[in-house]
Amino acid sequence: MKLILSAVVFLLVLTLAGVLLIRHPAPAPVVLASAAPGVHQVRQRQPLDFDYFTPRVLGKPAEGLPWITDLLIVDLDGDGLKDILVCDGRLNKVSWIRQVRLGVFEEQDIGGPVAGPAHLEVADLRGTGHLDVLVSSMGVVPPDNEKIGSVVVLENDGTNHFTNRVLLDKVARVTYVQAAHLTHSGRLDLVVGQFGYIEGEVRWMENLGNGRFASHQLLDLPGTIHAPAVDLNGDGKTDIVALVSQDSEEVHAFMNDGDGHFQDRVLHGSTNKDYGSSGLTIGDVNQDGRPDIVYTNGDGFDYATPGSRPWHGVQWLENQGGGKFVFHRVGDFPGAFSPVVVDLRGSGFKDIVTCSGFNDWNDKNAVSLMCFENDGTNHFTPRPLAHVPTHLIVVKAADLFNDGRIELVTGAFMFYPPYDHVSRVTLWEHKE
Amino acid sequence: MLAAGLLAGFGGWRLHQANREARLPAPVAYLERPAIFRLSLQQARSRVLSGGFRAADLRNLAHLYQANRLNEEAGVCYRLIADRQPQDSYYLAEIAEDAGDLDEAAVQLELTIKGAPDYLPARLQLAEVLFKAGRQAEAEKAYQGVLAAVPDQPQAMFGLARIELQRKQDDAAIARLGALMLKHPEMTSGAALLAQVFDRRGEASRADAMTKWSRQKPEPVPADPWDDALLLDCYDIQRLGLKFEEYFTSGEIELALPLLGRVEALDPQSSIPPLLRGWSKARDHDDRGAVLEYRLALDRGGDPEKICPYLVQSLLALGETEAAAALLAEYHAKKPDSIPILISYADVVVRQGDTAKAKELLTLVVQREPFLTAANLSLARILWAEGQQDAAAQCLERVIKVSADDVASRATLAQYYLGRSEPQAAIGPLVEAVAIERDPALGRNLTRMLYSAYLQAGEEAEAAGHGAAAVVDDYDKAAALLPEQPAAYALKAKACASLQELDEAAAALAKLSQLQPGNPTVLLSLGDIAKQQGRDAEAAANWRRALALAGDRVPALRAALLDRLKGTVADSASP
Repeated sequence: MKLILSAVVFLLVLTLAGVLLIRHPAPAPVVLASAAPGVHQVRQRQPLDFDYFTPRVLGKPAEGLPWITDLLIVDLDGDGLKDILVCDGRLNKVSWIRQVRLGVFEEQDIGGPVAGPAHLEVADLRGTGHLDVLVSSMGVVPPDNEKIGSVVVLENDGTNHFTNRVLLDKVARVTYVQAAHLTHSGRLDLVVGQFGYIEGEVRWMENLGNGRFASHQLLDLPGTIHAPAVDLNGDGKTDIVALVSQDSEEVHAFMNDGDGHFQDRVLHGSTNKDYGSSGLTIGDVNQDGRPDIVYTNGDGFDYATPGSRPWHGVQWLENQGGGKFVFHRVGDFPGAFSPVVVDLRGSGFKDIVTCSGFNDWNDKNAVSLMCFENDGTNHFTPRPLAHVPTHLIVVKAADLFNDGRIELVTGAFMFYPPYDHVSRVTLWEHKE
Repeated sequence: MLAAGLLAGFGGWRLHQANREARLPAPVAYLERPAIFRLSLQQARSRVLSGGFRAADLRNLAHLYQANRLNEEAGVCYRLIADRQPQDSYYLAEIAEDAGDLDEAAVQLELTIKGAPDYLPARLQLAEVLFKAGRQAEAEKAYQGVLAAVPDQPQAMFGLARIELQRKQDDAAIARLGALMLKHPEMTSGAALLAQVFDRRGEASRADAMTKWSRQKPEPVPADPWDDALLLDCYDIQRLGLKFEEYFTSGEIELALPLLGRVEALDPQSSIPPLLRGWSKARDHDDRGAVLEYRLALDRGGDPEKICPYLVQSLLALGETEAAAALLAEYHAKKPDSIPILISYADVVVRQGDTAKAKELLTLVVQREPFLTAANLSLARILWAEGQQDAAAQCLERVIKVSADDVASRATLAQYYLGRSEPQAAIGPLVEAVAIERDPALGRNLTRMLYSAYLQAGEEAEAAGHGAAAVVDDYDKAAALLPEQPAAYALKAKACASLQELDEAAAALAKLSQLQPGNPTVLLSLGDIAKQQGRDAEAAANWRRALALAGDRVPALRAALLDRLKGTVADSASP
């Protein structure tokens, strides 16, 4: 009897161990493409922790208390090396941190001043073969209800010279602009999100050709943070997803019939008016071929005392097809901003990286950079990556050095004290 | 045998107890929470276990968990209640909403309404949850149900207007929002939405009126007694503080202040209640009371970086500038690296008129925070008055980088550069100033300044021997600014002539002659250019017209014209 019991227990232990092994496979080596053709390095995957990355100041050092509102990783000059575009909401400018040689960066301002730049995108708007820079201009970054927003394009003459052209102005503060084919015209139209303050809106601007645009309003509410264009239902027509904060705290989908008609749908929302929606991105989290929606709530900007709230965190709306979206909380993260869907360490699964703009920075254990690691079944484990620098409002991910590994770049928005760990633009690279 | 039986009985009882306890959330020490919470939790759990899982005891335990943000634990307790009441379902709905499970929230709210059809917050919450879940038609029905029970209920009217707008039924939405504003002028969110709709439709004056309305006093928080009841079990200082902020922001001070008493009861040494009371008193213009509260917050170890600026505002409102300066001197000495304290200190010293100290502090401020507008402007004023214009200009350069709408700084800076004969440096700030100035009269003055700057820049380029393109560019920009002014054309013509850009010179003179048709010197010059280009007949015609205009008034001009005409005629006559 005792023997039988022991055997059963042993079997049980073995089974459990098997289950655990299946659920948590041993780290596999990663094959990395090296800079030299035909040569590959084999590297053991590092655990995601505080030692995973080494921070390096990128571009000019911080001068005073920077307000980096957005950044974009893009090969702007088409030289095969990824650069970083940065907008500074306090100094009212866009700058280009150009990768002149692998791993060597130089920064220069581009275009003329832009008041309160908040978001950057690139597109060959005029069909010249060169990337123009689309800038969302808030006028001023702190709360303001005046009609001081604009859409500015920094037109690229192909020789790395950029000239400002205003496509829309004297409107509620603009926080998002992206170029996309929204009609059959073959021309790039624009999606424009206007946070405003008490009043705001979402519109799209139909490209009539010859630099002329016609505006069509989609939503009459303030608070839009991001409004990316994406074909949500796979019908070949580009739809728009908007994250609307302020008192609404909703994710809207504007479904496109292809002829410039959009149907507004609320996909999900919070009844907590203080939810603090802060950033939205599109990514195929579960890799089922359908674009999912990932968003953060961590905005502590407009409080009497700026800072975090207990409900701040990250979530995704799983696109199940047929217009069905299912809400999943990814995890709590005070002050969460700027979600990025990326397979951070080459596991084959999509993780979610995010940063914190409004954590409790008096607490030295407060996390400023986090990866929610996907275990392969779309369950996420928070993996803190950094405590400092603090006040990180934007993070972007890319293989900056063409070696198969993902680096991160963060921007800091030093809005409230303490100012003990000031940064501007930081590259998070791998230890060698 | 008896002992074995007792032991077995005891074992059985322990097993039974363990099984029962296992149904409750796992016991956790919660060491980071107040002792009173831990004690209350222990007692509530004991009551549940000893009372045989009575509904009332489970409910109390659930409330305790939920009020202190332990939602999962609360949910377990509510679900153990055999005969759940509408209020239990309402709280389960709140838990589902917090977890983002809107469908479950709707189910629980429907159960709530079934049992308590008159509890309006539940009906409103259901409508809102359905709307947020994208279930528009059901949301509409729910809002209409509210209006059937309570005609003109403001949140339901607002919700229906949003649905109408989503369906592009503008007229219906405008009518509903208009009615809302008539019945409930306090619904500032309705005014804001209406303003945006009017703005979209190009109805500027109506939009403006609604915008102003929307900025009136803040909208009250809708009443929800069941939700408020949870606060009685709340030992979470942050939650109480947030609720205070919600009431405070919406102007419901009488509801806000009691919450501070609870925070203080939980942590008698907390600096938060006196800080929040200080805000409240300052808002009511009781600055004397506010000062006492802020000082208490500091005494209790509150963060001086946060508290000092508020305390100083109240001291200044009382006219106690010296006290404010003394306070900031003390905290600046204690925290010399604190930027908020330094900024506040510099501001107070500027008000005191202590220029030397202000200059010292402001210099420190802009070293650490180079782009603070107020500090740079104050420092620029001091430096300018002391004759240190170059240093002042550096401050103004920083100001215009960060202040997209500061016309005065741009104009001052431009004047400084023009005074130093650096017109190119003046042009940038002036171009921006002209673009942002909204007052037409001031705009004209700035345009004239910019016009002069371009002329100076053109002359400077010419003197420096720059090519025609650079020189012409400045004059063309000037002419584009004030096309009715002759100076740009005259200077351009002169420059082009000397650079042998004769076509450009002729074009500029032609424009000038249109502006000054009675000016014989323009025709003289036009003739000269035509002569240089070999168009003798045209030259002679211009000179003759000039001669006719000049008459006998300027003998030297007349003589010059006659000389030219003689030469031309002779040249023309020669083979």
